[in-house]
Amino acid sequence: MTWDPSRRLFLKGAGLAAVGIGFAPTTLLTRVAEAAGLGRRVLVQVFLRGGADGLNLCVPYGDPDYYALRPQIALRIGDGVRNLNGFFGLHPALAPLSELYSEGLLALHPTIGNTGLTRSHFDAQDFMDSGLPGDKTARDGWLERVAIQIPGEELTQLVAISSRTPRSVLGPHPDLVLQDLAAFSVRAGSGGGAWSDEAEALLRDVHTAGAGPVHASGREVFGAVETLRTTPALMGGPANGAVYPAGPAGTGLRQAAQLVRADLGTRCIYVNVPGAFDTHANQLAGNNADYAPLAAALFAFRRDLGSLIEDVLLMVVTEFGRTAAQNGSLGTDHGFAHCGLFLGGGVRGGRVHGAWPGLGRGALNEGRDLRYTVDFRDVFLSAARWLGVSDPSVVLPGYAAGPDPGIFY
Amino acid sequence: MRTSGDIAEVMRTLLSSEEFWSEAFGPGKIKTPHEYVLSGLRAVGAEVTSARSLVEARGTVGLAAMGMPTYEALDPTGWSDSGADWIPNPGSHLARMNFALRLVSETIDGISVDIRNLIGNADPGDAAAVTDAVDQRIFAGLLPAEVRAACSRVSASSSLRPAFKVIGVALASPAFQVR
Repeated sequence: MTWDPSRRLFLKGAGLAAVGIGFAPTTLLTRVAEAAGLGRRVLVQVFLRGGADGLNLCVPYGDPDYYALRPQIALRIGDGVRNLNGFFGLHPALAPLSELYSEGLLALHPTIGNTGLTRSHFDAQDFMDSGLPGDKTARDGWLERVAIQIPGEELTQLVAISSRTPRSVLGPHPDLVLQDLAAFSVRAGSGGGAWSDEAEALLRDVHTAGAGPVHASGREVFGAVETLRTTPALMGGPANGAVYPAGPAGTGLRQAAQLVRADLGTRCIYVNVPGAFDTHANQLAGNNADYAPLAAALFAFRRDLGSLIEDVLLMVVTEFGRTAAQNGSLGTDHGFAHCGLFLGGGVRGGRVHGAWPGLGRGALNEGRDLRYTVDFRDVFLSAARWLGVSDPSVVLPGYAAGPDPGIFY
Repeated sequence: MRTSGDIAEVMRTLLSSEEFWSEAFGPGKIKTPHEYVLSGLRAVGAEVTSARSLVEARGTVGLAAMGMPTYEALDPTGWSDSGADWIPNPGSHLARMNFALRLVSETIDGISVDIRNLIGNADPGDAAAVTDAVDQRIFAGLLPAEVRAACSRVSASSSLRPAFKVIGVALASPAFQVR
């Protein structure tokens, strides 16, 4: 069944009509009121660490140069590549995403890049997380700057599901960084639940006064523990029969979905996905291993959320793409343009966006890399605008925005 | 600069400067998770027969939970050794506190603790006495008032003696999070 835009409008209209005839359970009323404003929208950023290859993700099977450049590692329709639009196809392991594409909820953009080309993982990741390429002194993150623009100071506005604090959320706005929502509590290990409760109370007291960073951090910890404890929606399992795969994409997106459902005022979620994306050798095996759980996680996320997907804009990014030609180890090296994946009600789905620069010798950057056609910063600003944060000078200071890439509504 | 690089003079200036002494003996730098775990083990005189639960990558009680899985730093520069990069991070901070609590109650695989080394002759059922012992042995008498107050208030319950609770709270407190 295709998902056409008029259906979305119908659902919103139905909500309003239901209010009109006096049938208005509180939750519906709240959702309708918020649907009129932007207060329910959630931006989810999924970061694939390592520089995921775009050419084998969004396969340009219609371009003969692709096959010339990658004689052993290029993918063909016969290998299971799923056609998207007659020129591009999906990596076979990403097959579950075909359905989301047909529904109009998923879009791809295979030529996103960064003017400050760097082939260093650490620099490139930092530049993308701070949104300030070339600036090595930047201390705060772009999502942090987005969150600051949103009224309110709740800890739950900005959440990162990651083992380490990602640079994107660094900064003065409180944020919640954790790996496991359900285990975010004081667990003393013995003495029964009573001792854990008592320890929590005593330690909370110890941190209440005190100006140093440790005390301040402690207050945030206990605030978060309390908030999470009193929100049963966070403890529930996936809805609608969604099944998430094991691994960081699965656990990250499962919890992102819980946060969306829990309605705690969460507006930005960052999911960190380490993996073997840095495919310098044996790329086919690496991609097969990583793309399958990524696709399964995205699919489960959509299924889990049901109609709530309307209020979500999820973007999958990586710090750079990879060289157009294969190397001597059946892999690829650090490149330039990467492919972004976009999912949710905020996305103009069912399309592969962007112009195709081609893979001929003259078309490649430095004779090695697919060129980009859109600066990642314009994608980020567009996403922030969808979220209701429309002052680009605060989100990405000093950047003169280019045209809106048109990926989002 | 006056003495044109005379090392002895430079050292003298450094050692007598305010900044040096405030760094060394002031509020203290925040420990990295690694330092925190090691100092905790030492403070209670723990016997570690297997460090696996502390270092395994998927572990829920050790360094991985604190965001510092051993040898798994992504950057070639390795893990930051500046404590300020580790806190604030609510997940990591909570993991530290849980580590302290579980360490003392001996619910971490491969680690056993005999608190008599720490509390000496103090009666394990007497929270105030144990608090004094901990203050002397671990904090050199500098245990902050609010931590002392919390330690003294631990309840006596049949499942866990006050001594364990006092040590757990002290190690989880901000006082032990800094060097």
